[in-house]
Parts: sequence; structure tokens; C-alpha cells
Amino acid sequence: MSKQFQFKLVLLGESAVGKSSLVLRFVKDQFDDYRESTIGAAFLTQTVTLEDQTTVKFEIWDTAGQERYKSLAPMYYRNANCAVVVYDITQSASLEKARNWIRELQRQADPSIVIALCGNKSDLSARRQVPEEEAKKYAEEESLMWAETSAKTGEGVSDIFTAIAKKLPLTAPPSARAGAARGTTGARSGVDLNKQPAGQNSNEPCNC
Amino acid sequence: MVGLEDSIKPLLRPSDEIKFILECVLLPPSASNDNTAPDASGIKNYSTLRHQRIVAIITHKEGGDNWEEGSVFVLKRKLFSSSSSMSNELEIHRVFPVYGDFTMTMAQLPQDSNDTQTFKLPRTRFKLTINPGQTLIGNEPVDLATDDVSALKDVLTECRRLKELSEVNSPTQTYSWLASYANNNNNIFIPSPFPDLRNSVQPLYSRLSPASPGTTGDDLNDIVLIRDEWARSRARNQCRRGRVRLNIRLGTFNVNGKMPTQDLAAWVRGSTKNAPNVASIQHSLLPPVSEISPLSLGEVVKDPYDLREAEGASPSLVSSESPAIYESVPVPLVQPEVPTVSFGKTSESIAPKPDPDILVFGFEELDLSTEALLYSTSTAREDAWTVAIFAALGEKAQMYEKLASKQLVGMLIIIIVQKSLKACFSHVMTSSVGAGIMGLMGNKGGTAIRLAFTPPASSLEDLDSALGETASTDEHHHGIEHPGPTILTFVVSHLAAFDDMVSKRNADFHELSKRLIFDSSNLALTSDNSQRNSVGSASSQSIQDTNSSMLGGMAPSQNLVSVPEKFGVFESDILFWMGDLNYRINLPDADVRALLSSESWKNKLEILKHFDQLKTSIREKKAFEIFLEYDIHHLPTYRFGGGISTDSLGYDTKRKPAWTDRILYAFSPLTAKLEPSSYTGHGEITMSDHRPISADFSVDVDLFDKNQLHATAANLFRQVQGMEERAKAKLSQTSIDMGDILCAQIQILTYLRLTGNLVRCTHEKFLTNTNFLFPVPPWLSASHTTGLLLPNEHTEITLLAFIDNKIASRFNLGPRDLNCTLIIHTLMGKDHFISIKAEYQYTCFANKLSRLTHLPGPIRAMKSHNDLLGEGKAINAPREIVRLVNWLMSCAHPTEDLFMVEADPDIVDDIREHLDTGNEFPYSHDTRERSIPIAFGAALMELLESLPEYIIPKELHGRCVAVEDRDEAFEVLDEFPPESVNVWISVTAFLHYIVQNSSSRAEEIGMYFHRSSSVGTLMVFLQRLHSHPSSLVFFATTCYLRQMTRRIFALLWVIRSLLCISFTKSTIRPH
Repeated sequence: MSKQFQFKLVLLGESAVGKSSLVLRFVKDQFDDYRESTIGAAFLTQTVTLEDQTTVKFEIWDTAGQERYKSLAPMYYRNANCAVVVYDITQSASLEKARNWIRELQRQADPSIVIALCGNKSDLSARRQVPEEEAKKYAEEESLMWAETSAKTGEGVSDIFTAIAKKLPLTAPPSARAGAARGTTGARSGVDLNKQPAGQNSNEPCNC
Repeated sequence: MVGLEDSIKPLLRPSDEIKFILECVLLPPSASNDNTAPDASGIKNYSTLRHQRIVAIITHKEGGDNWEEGSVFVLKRKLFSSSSSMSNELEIHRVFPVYGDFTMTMAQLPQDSNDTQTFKLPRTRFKLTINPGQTLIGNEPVDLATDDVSALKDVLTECRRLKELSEVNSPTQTYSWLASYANNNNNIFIPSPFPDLRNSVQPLYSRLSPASPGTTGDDLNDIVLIRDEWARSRARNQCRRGRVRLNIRLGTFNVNGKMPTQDLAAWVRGSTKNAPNVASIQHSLLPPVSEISPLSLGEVVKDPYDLREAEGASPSLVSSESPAIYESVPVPLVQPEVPTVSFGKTSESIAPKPDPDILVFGFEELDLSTEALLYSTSTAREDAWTVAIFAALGEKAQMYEKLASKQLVGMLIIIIVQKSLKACFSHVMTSSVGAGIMGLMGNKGGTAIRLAFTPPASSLEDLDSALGETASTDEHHHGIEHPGPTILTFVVSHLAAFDDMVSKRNADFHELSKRLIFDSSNLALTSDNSQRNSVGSASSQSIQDTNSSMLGGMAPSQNLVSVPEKFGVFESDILFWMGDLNYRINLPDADVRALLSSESWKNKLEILKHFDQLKTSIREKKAFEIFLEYDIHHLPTYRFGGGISTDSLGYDTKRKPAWTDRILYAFSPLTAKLEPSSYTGHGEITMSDHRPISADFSVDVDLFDKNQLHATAANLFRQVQGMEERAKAKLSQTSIDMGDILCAQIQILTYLRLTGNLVRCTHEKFLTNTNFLFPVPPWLSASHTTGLLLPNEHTEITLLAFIDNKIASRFNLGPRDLNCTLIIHTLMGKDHFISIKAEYQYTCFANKLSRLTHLPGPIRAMKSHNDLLGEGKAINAPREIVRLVNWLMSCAHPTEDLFMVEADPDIVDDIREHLDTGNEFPYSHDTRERSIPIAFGAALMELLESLPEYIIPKELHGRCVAVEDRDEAFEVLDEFPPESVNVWISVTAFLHYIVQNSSSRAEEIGMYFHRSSSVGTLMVFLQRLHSHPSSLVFFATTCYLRQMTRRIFALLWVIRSLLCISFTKSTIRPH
């Protein structure tokens, strides 16, 4: 019996750490060396199938990393079930920014949000400024998921999203979960097959 | 069962709900056609999993529980996987909207031994037939078999409920939510009712789902809405070959049970004064219209001819000097697209009013007898009134004949058309609904007629010649082989009476708009049975055909002749709603009468209209939301006494005078153009306790080929289908600097260019929904909030900054920084950010008087609130008002035109700027330039109008009005707050001064203060705004106007009272 879940996921992190590239790799398995800076927020979806045939559909909001749009971020992580906070392993300042984002999420976002810290550009390890241990230790302290990825080579990209899918609470009834993920539309009720339509009379002849 | 539900759920959108599920087996098509059982082998093939079907009832709810649409989905198992037998995955195979002729029927299957073995079913086995109805094309009925009796019952019961629901709601149903389930595998037809006027008059963005950044809203549904709108309007604009003008005259009359005893010519034909053919009227058999009325209802009414001449706009292309010519060219043509055409070159400016092509008359209280309340079969009264109408038409009567009528107890609607045009009218349908006693009786309610007008063949020929081409020998008049019709609906209603029953009247309106349904299965018989000409017969094809093509061909539909369909009143291109709507005036009886009998209040009607319950209901969106009404220039039409006690104007003293009788209209701007040209009360017709009213309209209807329109729309629709998969948009700028923002100055800002990303993917198409999503700053608005772009297209978004007094009063001394980010949402795609930089400049306008008197210097020099003077340090009067008054008082060459003519807005702005900065005015006191003092006067008015509170505290208004003499006036004056009293004295002293020094009377000045605030200023605003209308600005202006009228109303009373008192300068307290 397969089940489908739907979750809202938001990407946060400093400008130029590779958030959009990470999403492009995950959703379309493509990479683009010269990507323009995201001005706005892109909406994409991708479905992950787990071993038990459970499918998890991510509604991904890829946000702009530039500082001047920081005030708009809360609108995007509002109601998010999970967040991927990205830093660039070749820029130690980007980890600092990531820490700020994580602090903000812990303070402002839904308390049950699943946060993954993601060190991107692992293909450039020759220019590494952020040691694996440092980020890993921080992630453990804050009980975050952590991984290093390379959007360019694809290394670790699908793994981190699958890991998030597994960590999400897949026990909740699918309809309720999907509703929560959809924010405004979540107010609409799920299915109750036992519900009888009002005024139903089973003795009535069966012709419409 | 639960397993199935889980399999279906992922296929649905969260807004849609599974009601019931039924497992079935598909029966071979042959089984349904003939009753002979198919051979065993055939059945055997059908017994595999491949033929398993799941029937699911899916519903979609919106806007609470009242609005629900149902659909039957037939699903099948996905079979592509290797282990097909175990597949739990389902796919949507067929979708049937529970709508129109949809039926689901069951029958017991014959007990065939073969079957029993093959299906291994227990004894009872039912055949379930789902028939999508004849409205569906290419969608054959489906036959299924099932043995699950209880589930079958549930499904059938639910279907019946949904079907009943769809019949009740049919005018508002769209089933657009089903579109998202459409794909290549299943052929879904979305029944598209005739576009609802309530939608077509409303901007698209207001109909989209609420969305906000980070939450996608219902993008799929929005795409359907945007796409339909785009295809519909583009197809219509591409296929419009011109327009044909119809002149329509409407009248409504509550006759109070009387029989026609007076000449109705004034009402039926309009004013006959100055008519070019006045001589012929005198020769008619009827007595000339006598001046029988002691009243003058038409006091301010201009003769419609004068109106036309004044406007210089008489687009009629017909010379009416000769009725013969008129009859030969029954419909004047208008071709805005073809400017070279000039049929009317024969002295257009003096062309008389054309004879109406359609006359529509409504009556209320036709019959007041008790038995009529219950049931009325007699047409005696209708006949009498019809005769009276034709008599009133005089020698023109021979040109007309009655097309249709419908009576419900006291309410009657009669439609009379020009004989020569009769063939153009088809699909005449009538409806009536009682809403009186017990909500059903016909003492109140409505009666209505719906008809299709198809332009006559002659007009098409005329168009050809007008286009400068030789008349084509073949019958394809510029491709207009199948001219498409325009749907007109006329409603006459009589709503609940009494002053305090507004909400009942509003409810009556909603009730009638829901229950007035036209059923095409009882098309009204038009008395003309003769052969119609070719165009007429073309237009008499099924109305369904008509509708789908006018809709824009969202769904291909042919062969639909004779399918009965139901239409609501809003499913029209043009809708008129008239009758005794019974709305009253929300002012005390004494005030209404005082205003009406007053000689000096030239704009008394403006004031009364402001308190009219119908106008208020429309404004507050409680009823008649989408309707418009031409300016009322006539006196209230109710209630006149017949011998009982009346006031000086003849109004019954027991009933507050009111405009109970009204003519309203609405039309789809896409498919028709409508211009009202008169709206008149007829005081000379005195037989009833109401006075009849009439209105003239010119209606331009589209000339188009409906088949071409259908094809174009279908093409366009195909072009954009599925484009949301690749939505992409690009903006020319991501940041905009708007600079300094000043109060009451409109800044048209950067044009934002939205373009397709053509570099990377040339075939890409995208939908954009530039809905401004998050808190829209009150001072900023944008043009073009929703739309669809093709790959090579771009659009320009104009951002408009405007700070009105209301916003300014909040912003003054607040933070100057107005920076914000606009978000443009591409459906199913990206949110684009545009950073806006703007700085607000403080102004002395729109501040409380108490703040102005606490300013230590010019407001521009202020940093914040903290710079204000402390308590007790306030200056005597706002220096800005004093500066303006002083300048005007010391002006060496005062002009008589002060306050009387419109000021130069540039000079006014310059004066405002100097007030804000505190700099010396650059205008000399002895200037001879008249425009300078006029601009100062206007600046003073603007400053007074901008005050967020009354100069005179509201609680003193009553006393001010009651002031009888000088001593009382001073007593009241003493109670004003100090800053108010000084402003008041400065201004009134100044007014007194200029009244003394000029020949203009105080009354005129007082009038100016009212007129300028309600009309003059508004006109300036609207003029400035005209090129960039936006809902926001319009809203702001309206709010502004409403506030002003009330305040100035009070102010004016006091001015009147105080101007009577001899003021001297010495009464001004020292500053």
C-alpha cells in the first residue's frame, strides 16, 4: 500500500552558495555553470520514493540569498515542514550566515521544522575553508541533519533530500499532512468515507 | 475500500473531496446498444483486471458550504508495470461533471448463465450507466456492472443530491476545477455556461484565489481562469468586424392599479419638445401632450436633444427626415475601427434623436385587486396598457410591434420592437418569480425577458460598402456568414416596501437574481410565424451553439439543437434591471422636504442621492453591485397624493419622498458598448401615486461571425494549453527608485517591462499573474495586475504612487522611508522581487489643526514628532491658513472669479510647496494675473478639505445649524477649540470681506464651497488620474469624496448662518 505525503521545503543561505543549483540538480538533474543570482523565489516540486514505496512530494521554495531580501524570507519559511540551509565550503563566512538562518528558524519557524545544514561545492575541496568537523560538530550540537553536497557533480544531492524525507513525520494521516503543507488550502477538510450525506434515505429508488 | 481511497487521494488536489467509491467492471459497448447478451468470449475478455473500474464521486467546495460542484470520476488501474495484477496505482480515465443532462441510471442485469459463470458474481448484479448528457461532445456513455449494492445506492443518492445542487446553482457553476484533471488520456469537457456578467464586469485579479508569498494558492485554478479570460477576450477582439447600434428606450411605472387615463407620450416617446417632426405629432389623432402637471419633475432635466447637441456626439448615421429611408436602413452602423466611414455627414450635429429600435416598458401594481394577488389570467389590463403605449407612439406606432410580454400579478414587462428588425430577435424567453407574501406571492417579485439580437443582413452589407469595397457577389459578407447574437435581458421587479426594509429589498434582489431562470425548453412564441430571412434563420439556431461560441469556444460544441438549457439573468451581454425597487432616502422626512422645496440649494439632488438607499447598497456591495445608473436629474418619483394631504410639491405628507422607481444597467465591456443618453421622470403623468420614469440608451453590439469566433477561440485555447508547465518570466528591472513622494501629487513611475525568456528557449510560453501579493502599500498601485503572455510578448507595468490626504495624515511626521518590495508571481513558477525606494515629503496638508498649531516652523524642516511644540506653547492659528488668507486679503487686484473658476494646478502645487517649505510666495500682491489669486483660493480650499477632522467639532454641528441670531452664533463659537475658532474666524471673515467687495452673492460663495468639494475637486482629481486609473486610486478618491460631502454639508449650513451675521474684522482674535 503506497502512501503519498506532501511537504513544504524552503532553501535558505547566503547569496551564491548554490541554493538554486542544488534545486536544479535535485529536480532536473542538471547543472549550469553560469547561473544568474535569484531575485525572488522560485517554486518547484520533486517527488522522492522511499524503499517502502512511500512517496514524498516536496514543494520547494528556493529563495533569494541577497541580504536586501532577508526581510521577505519569513513569508517563505512560514508553514515550511523542512528547511535546507546551505553554505559554501570554500567560504567560511557563508557558514556564519547559515548559523544566523538556523537561529532565526529555531526562533521563528514552526517548532517541528526539520532543518538540514548543507555544505555545498564539495567538488572544490581544494579551496576548502570550512572543515567538515567544524560544521558537523555544530550540526550535532543543534541536532540538525548535515551533509556535504556538490550540485556540480550531483554528489550527495539526492541523498540529503531522501534523508530529509525519511526524517519527516510520516505517521500523520496523509491528507492532514498534505493540508498542513499547503498552508491556506490546508483548511479544507480531508476525507471521511464514513460520512453519510444529509437526508440520505437508503429506501429511495436508485434512479437519478 | 480504504485502500482505494488512499490510491485515489494522491491524484486529487487538496481542495477536492472523495465522497463515495464504487468498484465496477466495464461492460463492452455492445452490451449497452442491444439487449442481446454478448458472446461468452467477449465477456471473458472484459472480466480481467484491465476492465476493472473504480467510480468515485468527487466534489469541490468553495466559499463555504453553499457552493459545491460534483463530478463522477471513472478510474482504472495502471497497467504498464510488469506485475499488472498487483498494481495499486490508479489513473483517471474519465471525468463527468454532474451538470446539465448528466444522468446515472441503474438496471438489473439479466440473469444469464454465461455471465454468472464468467463474472462469478452473486445473484444480483446491476448495470450502471453513466451518461454525460447531450451537452458533451465525444463523450460516450459508459456502462459498468457491479454487485456492491450498498455502495451503488450511496453513489446514486449522492449523485442525485449533486445534480439537484447543480440545478439550483447552475448560473454560477463553472466546473473549472476539473480542468486540472484534463490530460491527453481523458477527454474532459468542461461545461461552460454563458459568461456571467457578475464575472465579466469584475477585474480578473479579483477572481483569483488568495495567495501570498511562499503559499501557492490555487494556481491551477487561477491558470484556468486567466487562460479562459485571455482566449475569450482575444478571440472576441480578433473577430469583431464592427459594431451595430441599437437604440433602446426603457420605462417603468408603478400605476397603483389605475387604468391608463392620460396620454403617455412623454413617457413612451420622451420629450417631444423641439422635435423636428413636431408638426406631424400635431396631426396625429391624439391630443397634443398637455401641460397637465402642476409639478415640474423635469426641473433640471436637459432635453435629450440638447444633450446630444451639446456633446456634439450624435453618432447616428441615419437621417430621420424621411421615415422611408429610416426603415430601409433600420440599424445605424458604428465602426470605430473604420474612421473613414461617415454615413452621418449630413449635419451630424443637428441629427435628431433616432427612434428607438427597442422599447421596453415595466409596470408595477398593474392590478391591485385581491384575487389578482393569488392568480391572474386576465390580460385585459396588459392589453389596455399596450393600446395606450401604441397610442402614445402616435404616427410612429405603425413602425413597431409587440415582441413579447410577461406578467406576474401586478408586474408586467412589455417589449416592443421595430417591425423591420423583428427578424433579428430570437430565443425570446421569459421568467417570473414571486417574492412577496410568504416569499412566493406575486405582489412583489420580478418578471423578465431574455432575447438574442442578431444584426440584420442589411447591416452587414452596409458594413461592406462602408469599408469601401464593392459588395461581394458571394454571400460571405466579409466572412460573416453566421452572424453571432448579443444577449439582452430585461428585468422588471417590485421590491419590498417601507423605509426600514432595505435589507429585505437587498435580499429580494439576491433572491430574484437566483430564481429568475430562463428555460429554453419553453421558448416564448413570437407571434411572427412568417418565413424569416436568411440571417434570421441562421440566428435561430440553437441558443447553446450561440452561447458556446460567444463564450470563446472553451469547448467545442455542435449538434446541440433542442437541448433545453437554463440561463440566469446574469448570463447576458447586456442586462437592464428596472422597476419600483422601493429604495428610500436615509434622511429625516423634514430634511428631505426642506431640501426639495428649497430654492437656493441648486445641488440638493446631489445631497439626497448621497443618502439614497439604493446608491448606498450598491456602494456597500449589498445589492445591485455590478449595476450602473445614469445621473438622476429628476425629483423623487414617490409618493404623490391624490386628494390626501400633500406638501407644497405635491408629495404625500405621510410618505417620505423617494426615488423608488429606477432603471439600472450592466453590460459586459468585452462584448458590448452601452451609453445612457437620458434618465427622466415624467411629472406630467399624474394618474398614479408614482411618477413614471424613462431612460434612453445606445447600445453597440458586436458584428462577428460566430463560427469564426468559435474557431479562433478554440485555436487560441489550444495554443496556450499546458503552458503552465514551462512558466517563465523576466523583468526589466529589479529595483526602482521613485524619489520623493509628495502628497496629492501623482508620480508615474518606471515602466516595468515583463518579457519572456526567449534566449534560452524560444518556444517557451508563460502565464503571469502579476498579483501584488503581500501588504500592498496604500500609496502605491500598479496597472495590469493579471495577465497572460505568449513567448514573444511583453507587457509594461506602470507603477503609480499617489498619497491622498488620508494617507498623508498618517505619514506626516512618521518615518519618511517608504521602501518596500513588490512581488510579482508567475503562476506555477517564480515570485519576482522588485525593490522600491521612495521617500515621503512631509506636508502641512492633511494634519489635524492642533498639530499645525504646534509646529515650530515649516513642516518640511521637521525631523519627527518630537520637534513639535510642547503643551501650552501652541500658536494661535495654523500659520499656513493664515498665510493664505492674508495673501488673499492683501491682494491688490482681487478677482470676481475667485472660487468660481478652476485654478491652474501647477500654480496651486507651487503654492502648496511654498507652504510646506515656509519659503516666501513668489507672487506679488499687486499681480494683475487673475490666475494667481484664483490658485490661492484653490489652495485654501484644498488645505481646508485636507483636514482630517471637522473644523467645527462634530458635536456642535447640530447647534450650529440651529443658530438663529448673532448672540447664539457667538455662544457656539465660544465652544470651539482655540485653533478651530481662529481658523473659522479667519476664513469666514475673509469670505465676508470678499462678499462685501464683489458683486457675487454670499450664496454663490457658499455654493462654491460645496460644489468644489464634491464635484470640482473630484473632477480635477479624475482628470489627472484618468490616464492611469487604478482601483486603489479610485478607491482613495471615493473615500475622499464621501468624507468631504458630509463635512461640507455641515460647514455650509454654518456658513449660511454666520454670513447672515454682520462680521467685522475686529472679531478676529489676535494671532
